[in-house]
Amino acid sequence: MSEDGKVLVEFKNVDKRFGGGKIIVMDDFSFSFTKGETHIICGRSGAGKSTLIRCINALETIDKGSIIIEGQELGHKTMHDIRKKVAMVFQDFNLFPHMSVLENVTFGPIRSLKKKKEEAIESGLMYLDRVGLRDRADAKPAQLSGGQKQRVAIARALNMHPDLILFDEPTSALDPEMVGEVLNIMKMLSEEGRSMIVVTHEMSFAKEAADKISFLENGKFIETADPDTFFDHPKHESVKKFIDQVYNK
Amino acid sequence: MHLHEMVVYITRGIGITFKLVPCVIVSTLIVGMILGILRFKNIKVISQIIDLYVTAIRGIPPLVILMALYFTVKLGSSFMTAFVALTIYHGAYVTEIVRGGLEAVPKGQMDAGKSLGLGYMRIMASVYIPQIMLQIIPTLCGQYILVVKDTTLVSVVGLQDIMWNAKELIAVTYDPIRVYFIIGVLYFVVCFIIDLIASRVEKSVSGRYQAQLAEKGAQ
Repeated sequence: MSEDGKVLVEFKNVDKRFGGGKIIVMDDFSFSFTKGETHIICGRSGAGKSTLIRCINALETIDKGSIIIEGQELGHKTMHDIRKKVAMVFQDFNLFPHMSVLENVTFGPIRSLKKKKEEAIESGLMYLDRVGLRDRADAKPAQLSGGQKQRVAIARALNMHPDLILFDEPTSALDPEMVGEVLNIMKMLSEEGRSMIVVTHEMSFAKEAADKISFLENGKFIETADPDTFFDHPKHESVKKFIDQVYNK
Repeated sequence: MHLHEMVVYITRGIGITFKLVPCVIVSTLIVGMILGILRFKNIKVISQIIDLYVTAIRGIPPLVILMALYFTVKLGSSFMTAFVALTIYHGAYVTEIVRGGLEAVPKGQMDAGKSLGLGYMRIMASVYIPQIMLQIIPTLCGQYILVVKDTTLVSVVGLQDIMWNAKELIAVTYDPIRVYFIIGVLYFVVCFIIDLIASRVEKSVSGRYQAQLAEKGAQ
């Protein structure tokens, strides 16, 4: 990946508030996410981590400022193009229940990227193989366990051949014994050098897989560092507290 | 006049009902789908117009719509007048049924569709509509039984249906009790058959529907 190190997503002076301005998600927020990195966002619940990454593919609108993705400013006209390049994995999987596993994985490429059906199926099966679910291609989502559903959702994201994958608390809705299988796949993707922005509470995963970790509080990243620095020498007092509570239990 | 002669005489009018009902089912489905989807999209002005239509129709008896249309708009034939009136009337209810079905789909389905880069209409056509069809069939069948029953009104615009024949028969036999009893039984049989079909359909899809619920429950 020769383009690694380039800016992938840039937030410029972004404001985002909820509830008549009371809840601050982003406050004059400027930040650049780098291509080829696994960037983990953590913070206390309600800090707006999910909302922040949902802004990147325009599932949420921002109040002020701009978001630039690979040189293209996110707006009404560019929204659909950008969404084709930015895939997303949700907390609640959001698989399409009336479609088979394979249809879930090929639906986007066929309908949105206008890929040929055979081509989408071939790459779809390849990605299902990579998440270990090729033999469940004909199953319906309802027949799968939570962990399997999330792996299908990851295959669905991968089959869009995205430049960036957003993960919105991908293991929060899972039973504890299924968290590992999903995190393992995410680690594999991270090692491949894919660009990923991940909101998660899995601190041991963050420590292992992240290139950078940021802590969101009061509308800003109050701390951004590599995992070692983040966990061992956090500068900010509330980050220290957070790590003590969540990690060094 | 024997009872069976009366039955035969009245039943000759049933053709109108059998022609009208399928036409209204198709037209209200089209109206309901289009308006239901537009209403779900929640664009302010369009939503207000659709709400006004639905609210107005809820408060106006179908007979009034039928008469108003008959005296104000030239639609060529009595059949067309009845067809359009019933479409306007029941279309409003089907709109609400479709909208209700769409609202019941988890919001994450829209997020998932959007994040694949798909447009609103594609998400509706491929993600939402297939999911709600299973769920709204029972409610729709209930609505279509009302359509069948409302066809008793169309003789007022000159359609020679069961009720028209009944009035003729009463004029001859002076026996309204038996005539209306026959009509009651006839309509009951037709509606009962629709009910049977509905519950068959419901049963055959309920397996898949349950699977969907399980999926939602797991979310």
